[in-house]
Amino acid sequence: MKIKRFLAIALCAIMFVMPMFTVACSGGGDDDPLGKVVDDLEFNEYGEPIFNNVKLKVWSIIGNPDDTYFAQVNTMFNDYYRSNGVTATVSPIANADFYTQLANTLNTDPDNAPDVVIFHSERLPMLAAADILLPMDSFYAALGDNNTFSKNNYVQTVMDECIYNGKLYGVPLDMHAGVWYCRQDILEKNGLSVPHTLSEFVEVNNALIDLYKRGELWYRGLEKTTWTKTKDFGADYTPIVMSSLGGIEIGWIPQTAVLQNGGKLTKSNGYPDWNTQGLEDVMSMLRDWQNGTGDFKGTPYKGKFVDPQSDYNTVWSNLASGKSVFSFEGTWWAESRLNEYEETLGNKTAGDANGNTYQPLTIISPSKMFALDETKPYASNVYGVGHCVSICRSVTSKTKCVAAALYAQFVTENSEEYTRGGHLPANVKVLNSDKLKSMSHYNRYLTKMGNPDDFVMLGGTKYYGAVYEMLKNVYVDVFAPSTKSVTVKQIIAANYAEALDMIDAEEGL
Amino acid sequence: MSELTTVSDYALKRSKRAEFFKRYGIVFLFLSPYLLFFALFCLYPLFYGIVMSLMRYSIGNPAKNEWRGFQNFFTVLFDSDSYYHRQYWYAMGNTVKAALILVPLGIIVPLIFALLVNTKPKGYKVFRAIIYLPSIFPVAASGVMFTALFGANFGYINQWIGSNIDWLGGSTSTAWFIIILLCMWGGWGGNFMILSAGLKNIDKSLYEAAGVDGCTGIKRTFAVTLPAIKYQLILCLFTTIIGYFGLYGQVYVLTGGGPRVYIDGRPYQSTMTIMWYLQNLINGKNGLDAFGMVSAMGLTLGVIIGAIAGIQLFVTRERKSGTKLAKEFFAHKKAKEEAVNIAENADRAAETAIADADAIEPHDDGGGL
Repeated sequence: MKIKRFLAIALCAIMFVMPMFTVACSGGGDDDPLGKVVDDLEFNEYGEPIFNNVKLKVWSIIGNPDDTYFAQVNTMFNDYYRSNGVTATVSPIANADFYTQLANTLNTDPDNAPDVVIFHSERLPMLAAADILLPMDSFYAALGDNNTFSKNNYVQTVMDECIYNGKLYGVPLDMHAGVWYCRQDILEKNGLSVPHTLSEFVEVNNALIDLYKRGELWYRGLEKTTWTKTKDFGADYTPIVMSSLGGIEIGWIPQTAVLQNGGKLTKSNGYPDWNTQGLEDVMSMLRDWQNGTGDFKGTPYKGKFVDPQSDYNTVWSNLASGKSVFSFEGTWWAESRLNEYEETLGNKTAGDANGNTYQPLTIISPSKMFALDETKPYASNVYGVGHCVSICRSVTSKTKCVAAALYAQFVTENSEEYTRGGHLPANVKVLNSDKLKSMSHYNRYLTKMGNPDDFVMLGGTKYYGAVYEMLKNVYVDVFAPSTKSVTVKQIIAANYAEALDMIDAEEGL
Repeated sequence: MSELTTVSDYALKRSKRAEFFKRYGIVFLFLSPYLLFFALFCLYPLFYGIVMSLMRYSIGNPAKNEWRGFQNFFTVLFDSDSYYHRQYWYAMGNTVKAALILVPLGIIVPLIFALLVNTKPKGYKVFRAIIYLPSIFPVAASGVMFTALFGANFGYINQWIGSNIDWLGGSTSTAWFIIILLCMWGGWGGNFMILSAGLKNIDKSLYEAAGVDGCTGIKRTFAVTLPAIKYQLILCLFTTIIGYFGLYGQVYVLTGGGPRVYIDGRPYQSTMTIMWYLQNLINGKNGLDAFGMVSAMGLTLGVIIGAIAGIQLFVTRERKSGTKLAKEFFAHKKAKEEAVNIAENADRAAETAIADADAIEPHDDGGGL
């Protein structure tokens, strides 16, 4: 009995002491992550850093389909720098797992933690505040006269999001947004033009509904090349398909609605600032589109614009069947979708027998598409999200840090191929380069994404979850059948209050 | 420094040591793999969780971890203004409500199936297999099937009945209905097997005796069958309660916590269970510093489940002690009877002895004289 009791007590004691010991050891670290970086950097006679078989482990959040294009850029880096002693291997990590996996690996398995991370720049302040990233300025400065990196080489708004507490924590790779995909062939067959402002958009949708009600709407599915006039879509023909629950809409539409109507997403202290009248007006308009009631500046809606039952699956299927003309999706699908439609329905840009010059599918920039007053200077704003390249605190060698900084500079300065995946380059030189402009995809869809100067980012807040996720919820609840009885004003107010509560809770820890 | 000892002491010590290793060594040898994994994956995380719950624990940077004492527990339990408190107890409420519906259903439905199969109708083995079949599907796979069935746009159910009901996102009640349906469908197999095994082992003579007393049909089920599988029912109750307090997968695959509702001017995920909430907190969307709070919430949940299990054990122990008392009473009665018998026998033996003695006494007296 004595032995049993002794063993039980000993086991409990060990089990309790071990975590205490682990926590105590992990808690005694240096608050400044740069303090752990050992200065082992050496230079050759030309003042260039000497790299001796530096292998960079890169974790990338860039997923299908654009990860293949980034892999090409990474190969370019390896080809260029292999002889200098640096190579990089990219491991794609799923978006849902990326941030917790990164934090966990850094803490529990630092040997397998990445050296370089490529992720969405709106999360950078959160990661920088948690000391997961290393400030990069000193690594570029260490290159002395050989340093060619400059913050001015990047689009200002994206670069601003990579700076936290005055220090550079990431190098912006791209910016991207959700866009309207439009069945241009259907519009042209029905004598309508592609809309580029909100009022034009409303006008076109009213015209489509009007044609449908009169049985004069020409349509064709992706599987057909012949045109039919139809009334087969039921009582409620909805020219727009928008996913109400998931998808891309929640990540761009409410944000762009705030920005195009004079609002801001965040305050200077990182708190949310999106509870604006503009947001309420646009969200009320979207609800009217779903209900088929109300009017736009005195012009009544002629029916439901948006199918209330839409979800992620119907975004593409309704477009393909011709049941809808517009859907909102990410630009990274542009190449594959445009190819699909052109291969099936033909690219008529050269003009067909009837003199039509359409592409069957095109994309429309969200610029001015959610602006209630299109004349305002901010009406062109587009909410943008970017990828950036950062260095993890797992790197403790200055030589490796410098190699990682050069990697970040290289991939962002040579990202032309990567932009095929529907991303505008954040590097100004790439953006203005002849190489990019001569590429087929540039005029085909890249220029249609909007003016790079109009892109506005989240605004550098470390309260990403509270600011961004709660705004996404506003969109979901405006469309959700379970919250039909709640007014848009109440939805915005409740989610805004909840965002503040979340920040308070986070700060109170 | 050497110590003098006698040969017999030395031999005794050696034999004691040898006996110890012979006695416990082999036990430890066989137990050690299990003990190692139990310590590593059960005890260590548990104690680590306790330590974390007393801290502001950041997975972003452990250098910033700080001791908070019982502040996390205080927030969860008492700070009604806190976001964590509000969401935690809303999720707890949902979990309890779900358990109140699911636990009785999760026992009664398998019990009915088990009783029916136990009558051994034609093809009962096929029925048995069909009833257990859903339990072998992972929740993710079952979830995909249910989503296909109850999807708003392409769902088979809507197509069959010609409706366009948004079962999973339309309203809280329909969403919960589908979650409960999946829980039941995928979960009844385990309890069904336990109860079936219990039913199979009931002594046939009990039924015969009941039959002789005129107890048949439903009455026999309540009077004989159910009491006979009492311990299986208790086991099912115990595991079902614990299981449904950990309800997570079904919610995750079917509704993702939604649809959302507004209560007192605040948004809530109407099918958010406690496990779903904890999981959602640690996915990084709400910052990287909430892990201590999540640990405190997890431990609080553990204590609540432990309390419920304890109450249940207490209640069932009381029933057990009733039998025990009865048995003790009968044992006591028997012992008393035996004691009385022994005493009576002893008296009888004494009387016989006296009688014998009386019979012998005149000869002795005479002889003595």
